[in-house]
Amino acid sequence: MELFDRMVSLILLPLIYSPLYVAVSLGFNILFSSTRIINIAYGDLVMIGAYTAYWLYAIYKIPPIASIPVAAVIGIFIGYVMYTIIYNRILASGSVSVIEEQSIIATFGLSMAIQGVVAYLWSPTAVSYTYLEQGVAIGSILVPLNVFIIMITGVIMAFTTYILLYRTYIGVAIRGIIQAPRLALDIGLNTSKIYMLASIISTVLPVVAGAAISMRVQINPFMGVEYLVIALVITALGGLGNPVGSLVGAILYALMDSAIGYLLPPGLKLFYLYTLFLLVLLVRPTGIMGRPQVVR
Amino acid sequence: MVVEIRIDRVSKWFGGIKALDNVSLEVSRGEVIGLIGPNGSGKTTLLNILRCLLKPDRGWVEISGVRLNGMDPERLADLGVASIYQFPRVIKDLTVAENVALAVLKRQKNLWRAELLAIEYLKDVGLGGKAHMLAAKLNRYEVRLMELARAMAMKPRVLLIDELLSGLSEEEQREIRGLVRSYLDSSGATAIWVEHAIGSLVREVDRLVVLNYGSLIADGEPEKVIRDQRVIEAYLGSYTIA
Repeated sequence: MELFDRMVSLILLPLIYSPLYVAVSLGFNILFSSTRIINIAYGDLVMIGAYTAYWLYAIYKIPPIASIPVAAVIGIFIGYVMYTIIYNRILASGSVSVIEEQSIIATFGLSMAIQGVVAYLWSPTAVSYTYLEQGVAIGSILVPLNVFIIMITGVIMAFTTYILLYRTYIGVAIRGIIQAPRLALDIGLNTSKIYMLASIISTVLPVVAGAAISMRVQINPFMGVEYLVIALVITALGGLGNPVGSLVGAILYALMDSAIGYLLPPGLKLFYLYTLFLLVLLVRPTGIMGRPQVVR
Repeated sequence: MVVEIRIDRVSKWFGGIKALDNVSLEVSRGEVIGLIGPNGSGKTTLLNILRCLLKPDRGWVEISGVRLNGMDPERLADLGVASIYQFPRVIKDLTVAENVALAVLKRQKNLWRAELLAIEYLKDVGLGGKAHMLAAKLNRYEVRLMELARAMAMKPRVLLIDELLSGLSEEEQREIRGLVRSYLDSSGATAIWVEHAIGSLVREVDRLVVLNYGSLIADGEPEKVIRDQRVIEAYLGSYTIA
């Protein structure tokens, strides 16, 4: 049975987490590939979601499942505000390099500001809470119930996003813009509306993911960077601009993350992640399922 | 006769090179203009000015009475202007029907209905059977047909075509010329159609206009224009340079 247990902890558990990773990377991937905006504050959105669930539970005893819709509303609001205040100004330049540069600078500042404000308001000390900790036995390994909530949330988010991207007009338009921004203009698509929607998708996904993951992690103002790196690595792995690439990338990432944890000493996780990221960029800059860059 | 496209004394420089030199042209509603000229004669530059991708240094352009100089190209579609580009613009990861549906989405927000509409346009160009294939699988000729269907799907008042025929076989050229001409006849759209080869548009257009070194050197009945001594010299000259 030992082999079975090992398989559960090394393969099954990471796979349970991967839908959430799919959702987290989709948000980053969609925004970057449709608008060329790189959101450095992306991980901080996960942090905001985590604090949302934490406070709603700590103060009002609202269970995290119920705070997920609240997190979604907050995510929509943030996406709307970020688009109207920051993104549409940056996008007005119309130049890829300017958009990339300015978005990094603006969102880097935003990231610092968010972390500072949160640390000031709620102290830099990590907090956590327990909800549905009781375990379900798979073999001899106890898997906490809340892990399944995280999985289901991830599946719902990823599934909804794929339906949106592949079966609705706005989704097809987003995919069209990702590959042929000029064409979208020519055929009279309302690009600003589409960019705003891409911005909203890219904030709802991480905020909701944060609310879900808050049941399992230490919540602190600086937790976001890990999720930014996860989003970057998965996007690089799977391929920029390919939503299906995010799915493949997330599964690969989850398995590699677990292998790293098993084979190598802990504590340097971010170091390994970044090394992996750089290796992917060196060996296959377009990712597993990526296409060569589209020229605007 | 209503003037749909008016180009008035337009000049355009790129650095020290004069790409367009005092070009004037009026196109009536429903008229189909063929625009030919040797390489580098300014055909695409003129089209790009009409597409608001370039701003003339002198003179001005007007479509349906609206002054275009410096207008946001995003507004062109609202004016009813559709373009087919010299280099195909395909969204490879979308199906053929989705590629065309994007052009319908402005008036039909329901993706399923937009796709049905798109398929109708694809049938018109003979691509109905490939509607659900990924656009990446189409060959060059089929891509051009798809782009034609996409332009038709926009129901344009003005169609700007840039070298639709280049790279196609004789038979494919004949086929696609017929499709464009019958579409233009039935829709009543105004068109400026740019091609490189001198004889390619003689039967398809109402008027043939020739550019050489940025200047308009001929404008008139196609059969007459291609016999014009200056036009022949412009083309021969370009061959000796090449």
